[in-house]
Amino acid sequence: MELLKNKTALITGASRGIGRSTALLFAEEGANVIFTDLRENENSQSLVEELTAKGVKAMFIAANAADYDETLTVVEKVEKEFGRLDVLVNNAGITRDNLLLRMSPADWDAVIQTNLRSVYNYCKAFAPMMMKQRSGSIVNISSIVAINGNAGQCNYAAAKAGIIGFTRSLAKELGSRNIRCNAVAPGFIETPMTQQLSEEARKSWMAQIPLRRGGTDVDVARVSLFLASDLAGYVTGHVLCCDGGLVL
Amino acid sequence: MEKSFEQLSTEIVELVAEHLGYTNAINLDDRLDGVLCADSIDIVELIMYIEGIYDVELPEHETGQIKTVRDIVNHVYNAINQK
Repeated sequence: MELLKNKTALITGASRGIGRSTALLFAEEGANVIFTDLRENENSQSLVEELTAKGVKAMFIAANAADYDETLTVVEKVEKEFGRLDVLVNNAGITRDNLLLRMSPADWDAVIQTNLRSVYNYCKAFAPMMMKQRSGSIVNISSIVAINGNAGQCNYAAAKAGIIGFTRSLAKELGSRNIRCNAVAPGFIETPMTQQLSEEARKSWMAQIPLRRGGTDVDVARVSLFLASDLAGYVTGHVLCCDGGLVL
Repeated sequence: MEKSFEQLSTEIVELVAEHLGYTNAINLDDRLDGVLCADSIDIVELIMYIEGIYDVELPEHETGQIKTVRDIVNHVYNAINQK
């Protein structure tokens, strides 16, 4: 359908997982894709090749999403190479799980910096460009744990809940400039990490999901595609759960 | 070329009027969020626009204090002279 034809999209933390699937799906839909990750590696190199093979322009930028100055460098490169940014997906994130009583201040800070501060960095840095364009769509990747909570993830849940408040506030700030800002809240997504869970733990998760299966990276990417595209042209400040009904 | 405060005032009054869509004259002491009916995002955008015209960057802690057209002129004048 080419829902993103002639659009330029940037996805943070996209060398693998949900970010990678999002980059590939956006390219299939005609978007030129810029993606970032902490450093260049085999994954980022192969993703550039896969994206380019889809007939779009692709660029990888090594940048720490938690560092505002590095974000400004990303803005400069995007401006120079593409001249505009239509879609921003804030996907970069890490986990440092532990029960609160065992959670170090460093683990708290690392998760808040990478998962929440990065959203501030990229939205603030790219908002002027989108304001001048009088258009833009921002998709922030939150999580179902922001709504439900999850033992062992106080830091992650706090950061992801922060993203929801941020998203709704920014939607109000930038709506008059035709810039939409939404969030996606993925639930139990099948990843190398969740595949390592014991059979018992998996069964326990599945029992709570009305659709009786874990989600995939592509499930989440499709939701981001909807919010990024003009199909969601009248949707802003929304948190769309992609969780098979887990939050119900 | 260095500009006098008066020259800069005349220019910025025109730029503000044009950017906010006023065809009638506006005054240096008009409040942006008062008689000029600019909301907070209008003001941020206006300052970005004027920063671009004069190739200056006003510190964020200063831009938050801008209330009137004269405030913009003051900050831009200082920024130009500090270059």
